[in-house]
Amino acid sequence: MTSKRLSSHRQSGSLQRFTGFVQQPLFVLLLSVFLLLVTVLVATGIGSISVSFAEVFNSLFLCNQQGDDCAVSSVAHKIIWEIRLPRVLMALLTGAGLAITGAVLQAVTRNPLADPYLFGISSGASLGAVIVMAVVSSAVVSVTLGALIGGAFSVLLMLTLAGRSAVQVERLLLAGVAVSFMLSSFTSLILYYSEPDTAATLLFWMMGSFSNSQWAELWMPALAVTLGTGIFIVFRRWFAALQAGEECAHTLGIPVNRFRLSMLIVCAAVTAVLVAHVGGIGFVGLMIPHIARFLIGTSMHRVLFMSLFLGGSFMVWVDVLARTLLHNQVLPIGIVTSALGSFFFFFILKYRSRAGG
Amino acid sequence: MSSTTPNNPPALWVEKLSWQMKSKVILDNLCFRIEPGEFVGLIGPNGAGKSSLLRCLYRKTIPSMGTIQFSGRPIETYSRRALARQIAVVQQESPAQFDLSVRDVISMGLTPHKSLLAFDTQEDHDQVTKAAHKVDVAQLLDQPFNSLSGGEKQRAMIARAIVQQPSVLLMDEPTNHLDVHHQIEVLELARAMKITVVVSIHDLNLAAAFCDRLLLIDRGAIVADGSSQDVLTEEILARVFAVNAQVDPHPFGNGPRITFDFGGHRSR
Repeated sequence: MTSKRLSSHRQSGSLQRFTGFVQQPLFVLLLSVFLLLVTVLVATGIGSISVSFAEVFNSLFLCNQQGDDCAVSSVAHKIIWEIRLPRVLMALLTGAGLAITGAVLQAVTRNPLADPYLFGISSGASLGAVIVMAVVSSAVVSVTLGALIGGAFSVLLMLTLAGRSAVQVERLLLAGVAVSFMLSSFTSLILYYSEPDTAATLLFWMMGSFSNSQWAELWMPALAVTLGTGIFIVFRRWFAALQAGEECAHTLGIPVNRFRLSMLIVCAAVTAVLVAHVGGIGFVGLMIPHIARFLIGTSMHRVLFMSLFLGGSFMVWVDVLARTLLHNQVLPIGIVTSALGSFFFFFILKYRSRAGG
Repeated sequence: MSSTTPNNPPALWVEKLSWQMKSKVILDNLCFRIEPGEFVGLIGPNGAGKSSLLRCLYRKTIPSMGTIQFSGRPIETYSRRALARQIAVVQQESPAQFDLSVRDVISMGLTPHKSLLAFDTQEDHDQVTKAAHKVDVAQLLDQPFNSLSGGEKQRAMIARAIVQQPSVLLMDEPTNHLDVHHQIEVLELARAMKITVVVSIHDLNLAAAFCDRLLLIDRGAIVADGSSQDVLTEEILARVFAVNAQVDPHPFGNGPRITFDFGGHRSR
């Protein structure tokens, strides 16, 4: 009797320790890394021709490049390496990149509604893409390059318009909104006068898609996201100090205005590269940082890593849904992110208010 | 007052400091020196320029004219980071946008001491915990900063200043919104740091009790500078604050005690 009670007591103690461990930030982070790895493996197997998990694992980690020395059919091997994997990786990079820039912009502008598109980058990129598709012809310049130039142009325009007051975030944001509207109006104008199929292609591009992901296109997003993340991690202490207020950051020795402006430009560069490759995918950059903060607390370095992993996983799954939801048809990514994202967001808000947080 | 030796430069040396915003003169030709280890109170009516002076001292505001020397060197020759290693600031209240934990807030004091690539070491953690113990917020370290009471918040801000290891502590009305007990506690913790402190205070009795020296500022100019007995006289209080007050020796100490005439009895 006594020993029984003792053992049950001990059990509840270890259970308590277990739940304590589960709530540890490190555990949550490890879990999200694990989720990302599983996501990549599973998502690579899903598609019109389904490939088993074991085959994916074999093909990715055990086979040689030709895939002729293992138990995976050469067709499956080819599908995995040439079609699925670049697409999954592009989605992963996009999600991770948009989420981490969103987290940074929210910290830097001290505005929980900030997202990577607040400088009108997506309208600049859209305009670039539109001009290439409808006016120049994509045989001369690739749509990606056009969109990249458009995105960069919008950032430059915003900085020029804001002028010397660019050091003040509020004015910079207003200039971004103005640029966004200005460039959107040009895009609409060109769309209005263009052929119906061009308009349809363009609309599809603007809503985002990973359909054209190839290995050759991956290097630039990979470079942008890696460099950006590196820079953000290096400055994590400064972000944290900025969260306590501008004046406070100043007294801790941080050149607030210069720091903010340079981080805005880094974010803009990463976003422009991503948008140019996959189109304007909304909501991820706004929502994932909030979810990350909800799951792991507000410490900046944790939020950065968590946004990276969660954003990557989320986007890969969104892409899986987009290509499997309708038979023989690929949905635009933007529609799925917004629909899924808003429901998830409501859920979290509800859960949070019930938890009394 | 502390003794000055020629090879020991003043902690702060302000000369002919003026600052105007647009055409309005906020600070008008201020001159004073503060020796290392002094505990100086800035007093004066609302809008006198106390906060503006403090902001000049931590170089958030660049004065229009005059010089500020810190430890014998013009303040503008220090890099921002070097200055942050020397001067810590506690503000009236520090709003946090996203809910930071108390540990996050106190750890911010490490910022000027850490290079960008350095990771937090065990020593850093120990330093944060030690500072938290000193101000008695150790049990609150993992709580959200915004859930703290006003007194606890200010104690945490002092812990942040301790971690920052400055030689000068500037405090802008740190006792506002606090009850008497916490007002005393905050100033006692500041004094326990045993460094130069410049603090703006509204409560004149509190200022008299804690400060070695008072600087009375009115309309941007220094109108009195000295010990609490010299500054807080009935005549000066009437002129600067427009109040009737009686000043007599404090029953618990050697400073003055100010009793204000609130005029309530006359209306009855």
